[in-house]
Amino acid sequence: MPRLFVFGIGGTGSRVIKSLTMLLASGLKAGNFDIVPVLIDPHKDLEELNDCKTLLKLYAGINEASYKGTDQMDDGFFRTKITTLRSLSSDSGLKDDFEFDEKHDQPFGQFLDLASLPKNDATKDLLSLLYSDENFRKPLSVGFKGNPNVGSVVLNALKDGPGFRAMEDAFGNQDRIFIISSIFGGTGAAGFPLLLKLFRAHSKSAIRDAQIGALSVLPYYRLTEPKVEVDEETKQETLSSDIDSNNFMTKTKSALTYYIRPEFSNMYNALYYIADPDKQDKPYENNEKKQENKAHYVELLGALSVINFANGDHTHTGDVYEYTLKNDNVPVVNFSNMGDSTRAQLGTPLTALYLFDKMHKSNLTQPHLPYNITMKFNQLYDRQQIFFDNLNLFFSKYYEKWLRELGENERGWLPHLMEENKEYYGLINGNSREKGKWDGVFKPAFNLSQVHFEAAKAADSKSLRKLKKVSLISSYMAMCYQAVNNIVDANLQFKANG
Amino acid sequence: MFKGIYDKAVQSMTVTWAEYLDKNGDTGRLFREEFTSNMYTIGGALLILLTLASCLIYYYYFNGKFGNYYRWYHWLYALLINAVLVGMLTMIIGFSLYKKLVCPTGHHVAMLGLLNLAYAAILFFFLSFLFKWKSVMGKTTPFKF
Repeated sequence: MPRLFVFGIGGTGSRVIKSLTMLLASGLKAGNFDIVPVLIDPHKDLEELNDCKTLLKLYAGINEASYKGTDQMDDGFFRTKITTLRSLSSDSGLKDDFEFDEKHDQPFGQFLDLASLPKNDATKDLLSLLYSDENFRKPLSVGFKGNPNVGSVVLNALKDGPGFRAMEDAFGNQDRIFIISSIFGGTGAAGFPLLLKLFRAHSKSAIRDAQIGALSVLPYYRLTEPKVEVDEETKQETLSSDIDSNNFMTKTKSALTYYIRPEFSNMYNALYYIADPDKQDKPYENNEKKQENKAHYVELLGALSVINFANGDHTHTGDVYEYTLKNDNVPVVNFSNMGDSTRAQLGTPLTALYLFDKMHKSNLTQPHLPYNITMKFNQLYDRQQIFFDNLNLFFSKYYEKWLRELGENERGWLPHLMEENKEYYGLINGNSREKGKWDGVFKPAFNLSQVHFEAAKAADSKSLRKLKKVSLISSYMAMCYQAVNNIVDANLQFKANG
Repeated sequence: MFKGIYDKAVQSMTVTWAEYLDKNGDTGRLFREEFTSNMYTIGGALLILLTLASCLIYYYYFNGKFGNYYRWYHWLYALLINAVLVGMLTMIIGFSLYKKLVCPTGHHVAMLGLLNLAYAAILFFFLSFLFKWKSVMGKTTPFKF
């Protein structure tokens, strides 16, 4: 299977990869590629980064347990394989499964070994022209704090690292590369052009000639204004944060002037731009250490660019894609006001994943469900506790939180009814279905019980009984997938307008 | 045809036909002939047809189309509804057939109705094991077998 190496650079990179993981969990496929996520972020203690790594591990584990030895299953939840770079090149010396770079604890000045340069050395003078004393003093352990000029130097060391070696070893002729970064920050803005140059100048032709796509995320959020803090001893005024979101647009514009140059655009095959210029009323907290930013629909749509890239053939260079909402003037995005093609693409899988979460929970708590008994799933829940713990953790700690955050953010993305309800007539926000007078008596209702019915029907099928002999977990996942997709297809039309 | 399953039970629940004929003479004899040939057949037909229909409806309509009727208590409701329906119909038909007779017939008809009610419950129980295999949601109702 060819591989798509997805590089997530910086905080935005991690967040987009998180959304990509959710899309893949819903059953969306990245062509016929296995995904190799590679995270680049010097801020190793960032919760977002570690969360993303845990999520990827969870996904990889669920995928492995669900589809090992069952190649005949083309579709399903968690169907696309996520592989770690370390597993592809075990002797590369890579310490982490998904991380490409290594932690730098020292300040930038120490990284450059400034102290070893003589006092009036020309290099030192040049460096002092390019960087401030503040730049030299700041530790690299919390990232580049919106300074791509620092990032470009530090990240240049990547090419000598074990991550790069692992990738060089593993990269095959059919493999592709996708780079996710923000254009307005430090790490992503520095890392994207640098990586692109490294790949295109690589000695291995498979890497040099590979199809390369990239997502450049333009400003889509605001941060609170940095506070002025006065040191009580020295009475010196400093800012509480080095990052000022008022500069995001200026940084973006200057980076874009570089991105549109032919010598740069010739290096990528497809470049996706996404932004949300809508100003947030409640900006994110300007805290470099924590960066507790909620999931945002721009990250979700950004993740869709990876799917788009993987599903197309991009032999030209310099192709540029942009995304527009169907109705831009809305505080909350849902399936009615997002683009028709996006709704057609995301509607069924994301609703199916939403219903899978509900169905899975009810399966665990209702041992008397017929398929739990006939397919022996009740015993499976006890026997395969690790798998089901992983699946439960995926839903409760990651998926539901992600969905909640998307809904709470500005702008919000709230496609589904979030209140607990056993009836699903109002499941799709902005497009609720009317309940028929005789639903449940003469016509099938649209509720959780009907999902159970569809599952029982699926469990009865020949293909599932055959699959049961290969793997009980696979048959459970296939049953859930068939059931929720049947119920979505029967009750909701995402392809047509309405 | 159904005399074997009803006659002894009806007599044990009411009076033996000999005692009945002693008290009611020729009219009693007419009722016995009519009751044991026609009413037993009607009762048996009601029992089989209605219970089959109830099982079909329960397993292949409610549990072949919907997802919320598969619990044991839904099955029990179906069983009871069928039993009451069979018993009631037996009584209604019996009372209407013999209301013009001068001899007492009510006790026999009522007991046949009650007997049919019990038989319907038993038949529903056994037919369930036959029907549930091909039912989508009712495979394990009332229990896994």
